[in-house]
Amino acid sequence: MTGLLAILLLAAAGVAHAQRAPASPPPVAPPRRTTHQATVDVRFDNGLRLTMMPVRGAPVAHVVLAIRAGRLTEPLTRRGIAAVTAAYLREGSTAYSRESLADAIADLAPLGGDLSVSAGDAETLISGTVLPEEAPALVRLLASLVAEPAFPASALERLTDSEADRVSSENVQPATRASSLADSLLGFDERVWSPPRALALRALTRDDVVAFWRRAYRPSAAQLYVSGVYDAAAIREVAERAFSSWRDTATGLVPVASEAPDAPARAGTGLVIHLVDRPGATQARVVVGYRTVDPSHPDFTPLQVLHNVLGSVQSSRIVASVRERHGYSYNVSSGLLARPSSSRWTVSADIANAAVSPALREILAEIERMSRDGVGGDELASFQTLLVGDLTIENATPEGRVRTLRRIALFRGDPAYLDTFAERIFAVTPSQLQSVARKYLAPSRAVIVVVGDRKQIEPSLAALGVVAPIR
Amino acid sequence: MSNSTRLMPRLSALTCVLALALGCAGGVRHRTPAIVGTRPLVIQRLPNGLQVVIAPDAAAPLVHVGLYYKVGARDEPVERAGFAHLFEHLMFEGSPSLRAGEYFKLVVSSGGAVGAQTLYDLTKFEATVPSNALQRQLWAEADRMRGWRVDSARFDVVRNVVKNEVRQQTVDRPYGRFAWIDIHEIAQTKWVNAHSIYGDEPDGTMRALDSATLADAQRFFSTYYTPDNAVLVLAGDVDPAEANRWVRAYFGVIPRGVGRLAIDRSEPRQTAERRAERTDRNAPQPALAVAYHMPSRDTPDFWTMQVIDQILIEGRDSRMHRSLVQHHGLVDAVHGGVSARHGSIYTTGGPNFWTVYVYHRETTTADSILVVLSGDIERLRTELVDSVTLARAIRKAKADLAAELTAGRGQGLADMLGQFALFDGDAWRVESMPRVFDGVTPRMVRATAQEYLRSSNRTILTVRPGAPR
Repeated sequence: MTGLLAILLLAAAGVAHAQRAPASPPPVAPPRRTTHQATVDVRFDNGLRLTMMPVRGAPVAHVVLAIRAGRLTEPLTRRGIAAVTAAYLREGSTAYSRESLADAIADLAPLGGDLSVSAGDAETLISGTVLPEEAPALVRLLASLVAEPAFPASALERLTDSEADRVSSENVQPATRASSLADSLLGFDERVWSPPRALALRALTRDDVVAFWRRAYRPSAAQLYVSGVYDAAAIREVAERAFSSWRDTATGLVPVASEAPDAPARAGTGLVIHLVDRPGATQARVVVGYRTVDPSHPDFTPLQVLHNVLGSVQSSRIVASVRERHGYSYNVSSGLLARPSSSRWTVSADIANAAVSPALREILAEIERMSRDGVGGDELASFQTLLVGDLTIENATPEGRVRTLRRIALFRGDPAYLDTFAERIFAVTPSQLQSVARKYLAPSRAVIVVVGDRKQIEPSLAALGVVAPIR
Repeated sequence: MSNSTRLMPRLSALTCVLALALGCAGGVRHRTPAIVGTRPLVIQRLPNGLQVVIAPDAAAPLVHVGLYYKVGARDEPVERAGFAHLFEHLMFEGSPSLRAGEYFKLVVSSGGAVGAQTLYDLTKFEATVPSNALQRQLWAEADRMRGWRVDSARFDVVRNVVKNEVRQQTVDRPYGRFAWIDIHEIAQTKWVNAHSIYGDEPDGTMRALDSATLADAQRFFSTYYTPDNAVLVLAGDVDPAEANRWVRAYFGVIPRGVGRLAIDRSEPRQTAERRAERTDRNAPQPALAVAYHMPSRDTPDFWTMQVIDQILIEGRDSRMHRSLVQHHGLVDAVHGGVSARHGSIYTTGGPNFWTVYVYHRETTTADSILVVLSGDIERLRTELVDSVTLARAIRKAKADLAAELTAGRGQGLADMLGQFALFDGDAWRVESMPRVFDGVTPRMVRATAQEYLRSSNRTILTVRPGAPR
């Protein structure tokens, strides 16, 4: 080993501008303690929650209205209704025509040029970042959009056409196809992985939209977040007044998809590789996925550490092997996705055709090595430090701070999460890590999907396991 | 490897000597900017030419370290398209004191995050780290500027990673080259401007990357990765005096380079409209891009184009959104801007484009979109813009500036300071930008549109889904 190293160093090409400098890194000083300014939480008479959190730094205010209305709250017979309703909000309200709304938004001068309106898995989010003095006006505008939308009938066809185009463009992307297929094979609710069909979208009526709005757009199922720099008293007063006409018109919690039973482990130990043909592709999209748990489960913290050790950055094991050591892929990485009833950990990569099989072998070998041999203390400590650093970076911006709090709200997490995060991350032991690896990343629980040129890659994949072509 | 404990006392002595010597050089400016808060910036140039900007902000225990080199795709040797980007990756592979992989491990163990990006006129390396790790981070960044060493085996591995990135970003991606690489190729006359930033050919091959050698890399490093061709920006929880000591100790010892190569990047004034068509087997629907050569960065017209961009395509109040999306229903959205798909107006120093592009249905013709689009352009070229529209556009241009400055925790501010320092030799120029936008008048808009939005200055690119013919 030493001999090999010496040869490599001798063969190295080197250019130096200067030689006078210390050859080893200086030590790291003790960390500066982080203190988060207090969050203010208010619930108004109509049930709307207002959460305000100051974030020092850039003089901007970030405002987000989160409504429990996403794909997972749609009726199965009205697929796509959450996205169409969200897009409909931009068509105006009793106070704004479509044109005057566009002007009003432009006059608020939101950073990035526009508000963002999007329907996700569990929530619809309407958000914008503005200078602090514009924050109350933005709150008023959001109230008008969600409490008294106009839903003009003339816009429906354009909005459903547009959504159909968007869905169809998204679904030709190999990454989307691979991810959706993996979600389906993992046994998740079909609203997560099966996109609405164009015909179904175009069959939606204005009455469907109004019915969905009445059921899902309710103050008791919504939360208004304001973070960054703002006048708290003014925000509170404006929010209470502006949203006062918004009332619950239905009762009970908006149902989110219920927990599906864990996908049955496969019989036998052989690998099954689900292959979607994409003729002519020079790369294949590979996804290796496993069901996990959401942040309300005690295993989530060790899973976060496991995810980082295996695949979040260049020095994580899978990335170090597949990308840094072998050069098989540029973007190989893992993702720990927390979704109501459908959380998962995946490794995904775009890989040149010739390297698909060896790269997949390396990915699976690293996962198996973790279950078999575990992790050393130094390696673990390094990634624990990384996770704590990541959270510090995330919570240093108004947008990141809202993301963290939304996640806590969505999964009914501990409100003291931020203050105890570092402690809980550093409490994870090597044996806990190995134990969650064995529990969640067992070979029998793996789902493997490849989207690529079948002619080019099937023969080498067949050497790894059974190839199951998907129509 | 050298023995680290033996070297530490030498470091201390060296630091003191250099700090004293450089301290006498003076030239440090402390200025308080209005648009990025109330923190005084510390701006200086070390005797070796390195520009250093420190933007202290103790709101969070983090510091963003940005290192900006004035080298990009336009500096690549002929026959080496994509080399600047390849070299960005190679910069992580080895330096005098760090072997391949060690830089990443160092940053991870600090709890930091790393990034790098290659554009036409700059290459940046960035890391956000907890402020207690700043000294170590500066040491690592300086080590990478001090020297570069990579063996041929690692060179090949990195080349493969980069080729995979190119396949992912352009070759296999719907609209991968559309509205930027294709436009650069079609609308420009000089190879330095017209070749692909990724080094891919229109047929998907990567011959230039395949031909790149270690010797190319050595020359590239010696020529461009030098202190007098770079800007270092520290934004965040920094004690300027302490950071200055470290910067001078680690970066101050690196000698100037031999100087950049003189390359004429100027493009002749375009005098006739150009049209081209591409097929894209990955594209789900047709697309249309119209690109106009931009004014030079050192003219007022350059910044007026940013206001014109706001009037025409940014936001739902913009003229083209109203005409193409709302009134005629030809498309679902209008996209574009300066440096469309590869940065912003602030990231460019050389010839560039203002581009508008759309995706449309098969049943809609590109010509029908062009008619409406050209009508909006001609209106701006012939009529004076009304004061309400102009005021709104200026406000939006300033909001866009604020968005750039406040992105991330220190990242956006560092980028803006680094880019102004790199392209204009003056980081402080960012402070004048709101006044520049406020100074744009209806006559300036019309005059700029008359010269730069003329049809003879534009290139029209259409994309058809399907296999290449």
